[in-house]
Amino acid sequence: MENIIECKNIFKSFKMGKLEVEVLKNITLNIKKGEFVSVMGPSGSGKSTLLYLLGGLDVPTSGSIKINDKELSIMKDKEQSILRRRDLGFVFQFYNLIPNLNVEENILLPILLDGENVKNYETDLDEILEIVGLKERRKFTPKELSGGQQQRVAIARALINDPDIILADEPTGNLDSKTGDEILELFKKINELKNKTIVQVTHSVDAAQYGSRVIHVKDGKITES
Amino acid sequence: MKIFIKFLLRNILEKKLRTLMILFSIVLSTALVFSTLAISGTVKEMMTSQLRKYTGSSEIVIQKNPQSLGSPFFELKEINEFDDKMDYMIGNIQGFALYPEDSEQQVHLAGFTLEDLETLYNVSFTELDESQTFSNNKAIIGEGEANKLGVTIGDTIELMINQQTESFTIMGIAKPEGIFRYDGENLSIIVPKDTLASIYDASGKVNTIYIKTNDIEVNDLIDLLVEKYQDEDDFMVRTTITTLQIEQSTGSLTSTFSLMLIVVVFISIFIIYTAFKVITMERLPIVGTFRSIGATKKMTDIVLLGESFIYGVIGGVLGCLLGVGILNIMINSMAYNPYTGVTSEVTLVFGFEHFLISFLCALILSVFSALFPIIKVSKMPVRNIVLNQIKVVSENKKIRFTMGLILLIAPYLILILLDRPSIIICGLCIILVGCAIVMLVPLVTKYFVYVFEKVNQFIFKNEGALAAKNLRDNKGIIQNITLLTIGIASLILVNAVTQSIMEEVVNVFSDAKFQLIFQHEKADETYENQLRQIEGIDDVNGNYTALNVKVADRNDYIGFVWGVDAVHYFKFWDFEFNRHHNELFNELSEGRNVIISEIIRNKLELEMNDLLTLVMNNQEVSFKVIGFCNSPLNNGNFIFMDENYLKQDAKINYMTDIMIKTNHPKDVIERIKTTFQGENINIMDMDEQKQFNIEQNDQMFRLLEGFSVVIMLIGTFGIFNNFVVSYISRKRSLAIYRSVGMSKNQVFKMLNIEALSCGIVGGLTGAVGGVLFIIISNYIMKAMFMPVSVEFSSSLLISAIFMGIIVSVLSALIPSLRSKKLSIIEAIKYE
Repeated sequence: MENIIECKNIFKSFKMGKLEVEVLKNITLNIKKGEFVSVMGPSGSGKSTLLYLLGGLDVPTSGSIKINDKELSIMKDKEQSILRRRDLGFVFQFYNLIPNLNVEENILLPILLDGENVKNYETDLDEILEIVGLKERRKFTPKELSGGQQQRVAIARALINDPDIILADEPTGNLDSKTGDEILELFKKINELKNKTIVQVTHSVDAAQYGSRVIHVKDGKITES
Repeated sequence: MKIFIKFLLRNILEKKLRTLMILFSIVLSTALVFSTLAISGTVKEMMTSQLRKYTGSSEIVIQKNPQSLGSPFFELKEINEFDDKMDYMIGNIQGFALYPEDSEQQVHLAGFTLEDLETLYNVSFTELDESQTFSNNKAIIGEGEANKLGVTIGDTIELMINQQTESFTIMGIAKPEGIFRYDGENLSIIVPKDTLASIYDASGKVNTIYIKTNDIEVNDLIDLLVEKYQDEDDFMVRTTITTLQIEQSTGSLTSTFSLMLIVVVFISIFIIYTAFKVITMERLPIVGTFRSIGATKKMTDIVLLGESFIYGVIGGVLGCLLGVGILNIMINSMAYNPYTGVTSEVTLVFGFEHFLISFLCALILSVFSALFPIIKVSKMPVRNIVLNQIKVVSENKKIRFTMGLILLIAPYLILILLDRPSIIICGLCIILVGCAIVMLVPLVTKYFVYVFEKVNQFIFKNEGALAAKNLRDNKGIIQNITLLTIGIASLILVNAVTQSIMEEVVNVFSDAKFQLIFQHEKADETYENQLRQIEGIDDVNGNYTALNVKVADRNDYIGFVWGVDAVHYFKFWDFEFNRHHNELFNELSEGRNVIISEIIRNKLELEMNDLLTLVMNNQEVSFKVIGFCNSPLNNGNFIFMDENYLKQDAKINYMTDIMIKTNHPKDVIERIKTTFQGENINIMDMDEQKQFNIEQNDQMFRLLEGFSVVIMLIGTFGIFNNFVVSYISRKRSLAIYRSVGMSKNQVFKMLNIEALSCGIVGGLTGAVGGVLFIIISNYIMKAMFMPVSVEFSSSLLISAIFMGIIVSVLSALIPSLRSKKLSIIEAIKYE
């Protein structure tokens, strides 16, 4: 099976005051299309940084990242933005919804940013709302939803443009265990039914088990994959 | 506690831009409060010193009644019995001369002894020839006069006095203070008293006495002097400057500034309040940390309040200093006379109390603005603060709408019901309407959003629609719109008031149907006849005037009581009356009847056939009101009566002025000058008078306009501040947009469309607010008895709307440029 994500010799360092801290050290990683990968590691291990680099939200200090065979580092902001709204879907620990947009509008955001007419996506929207179980709450604003429901909206937003890859940063970290399990089941369902590549970052062993492959990161290095 | 103070100071220093913005808002507001408070005193001082130019430090002046038929000279009576009640009593001669080298130049001539001159005016000399005594043909002039005439010590000047040429040698040049303060028009020359007396053929006599009291109230001494002089016919004993004179000069100015102060303070409170709201929310996690380790509510409240207190203290001090600067600029712009190009010397009058009030105002403004958000935080359970679970209690929109509507309508009902409300009630109404605007703007914005979603979608595509959606329920943006609304509304109000007053001033002579005014202190029918003979003059009409006539049993004065020959007089003026002209004019001459201005009608609450009792020549005389006249002339502070009754009741013998109709004003002026050569006459061309009026008032208008610019500056700054603050609080939202694929350019575009939409809503609601304020301002004019109808032009409203859009878009520029450098991860991960 072809690699949908390819990372080669990734280094990432941050300046913290006068100190330069190396967060990722020579990471090389390939993920195949349709895989559900869990990236596990303790706090501060660099797993979230890795995920953000994969999503083009940050740039590596050195090394190369290819998504669908396209090199991220040579892309302009506009190309990276198009990639994020068409080929990638992000799910964050704190849901990151736009507070003044309702459920529907939050989900349709990538479509709107792509300059598309949202009316063409009404069927897709209904289908996704059905999947995430929020059909009845489509006009609610984020503050009127529970944490689990907000995370479902975030997942729906990640799915609306039918991207190849979903990147999830601790998607259950802010939820109770029951809701967390529901969300992970949802991811599994999406992975299996729609053949989406999912990369989730977690520090929970239970959550990691939902993935088809677990990658362990410690001190900025992959220790087990 | 030390740790709290350390934390507090670090907070302030940490976000320098924010600190700077809050401080700037407080500093500007304080400066305006200070300058508004002090301007009244300073203007009063300026006017007083102008009025005191000739009367120096004296408090009482005794002269023959200028209307008396006899000689104005009298012997200086020894008033020994009042010696202990007087600091000094100076008899002198006030006269008039022409400067032959420049026939246009009139000279105010005064005869004093050197000692009296120094006592009265506290004169200091630039140069004085002390080897000489001040007698015979010696003269003293001021620096300004010496420069104007190009003379110096020892030079001789010739003056035309009583149609005879007299020569004087300059013995001293005085510093430009008091009587020697050259205003660019009237020259003042001091000559020895005895010399001037003999020129006027009044040796041993004087025509003026100046008195300064000692250990007695001015009015009490006046009473004693009146008693002393009562046998002597036609003496006038009065204070050198009446409070009425000063109030007339400063009243409307200080009232206008007070009105603006209300607006300024209102805007400042709003700016500072919104800034503190954001600060408090930002400090929440730290407050939570403090509380979780055992700090009491009181301690954390003190930390938050302490921050606002420090801003208040720093802002207060800097604001007072800036206030002195603003006051200086304001006053200097007023002191400069564009007509003569001379700037009068101005002393700024401000005291400790002005500093104290302004400083306290800054403290109260910042602490009060911070108090509400702090109380809100104080009520939150520690757990919620620590976990950052801030439940936003959604306000009941129906209640908000109803309250807003009540606050909007109630002031107008009150105004209509009261008809003539006081200035305080009008001020309160403006504040209430301002509050109503603040409450209603979010709801109005909601409706605009529906329109913008469609329009923006069409023009700017999806980013436009998103920008419109962002206006909805976004507190930062709604605050911007509210601020813009208040700012624009205030600007419209200030501009409309200024423009309307300016138009009234310009139009004050628009009712005149004559071209020239002739004045002479002894003008009577002989002069009228002489003028009538002059070639080119079509018609003349002289009028008699009594100034500041007291209304019996009231503390009110009528500024101008005109005695006229109605049928003839009103051929020279095109006034508006409430009755048929001929009938009204005939009735005026039929008895003790008066036609009163609408302003006097309202002020004294008089209706047709009511009796108006005036105190004239120490006697009460009643007149029947037979008509009303509408004119902005003399601020509407006038009444008309038949000239015969005025002459009889007020003992007036001479005409104040004679109006002249001519088709050739320039030629006629020359002929009049030739006819009355050597006499102290004054001729005014109405066109010149109009121009002079505009130029004289120009200073005040520039001042008011300057003030409105400062208001807009505060408003703009507040909006800019809000845009930055709302950008900071929206960083996360913007990062989310970026994370789901919005490009930097799309964010930039969206923020700018937001600003544009915000500007359009703010501009439009501001225009409506401006109109609402203008309606109230008309009641304020009524309350101030000013004959000004405040109106707005569509061009003013349109330019205000555009201004709103420009301010909004410009203010958003820096945040939207900063958005290009936004770090997505930092913004998203920050919790």
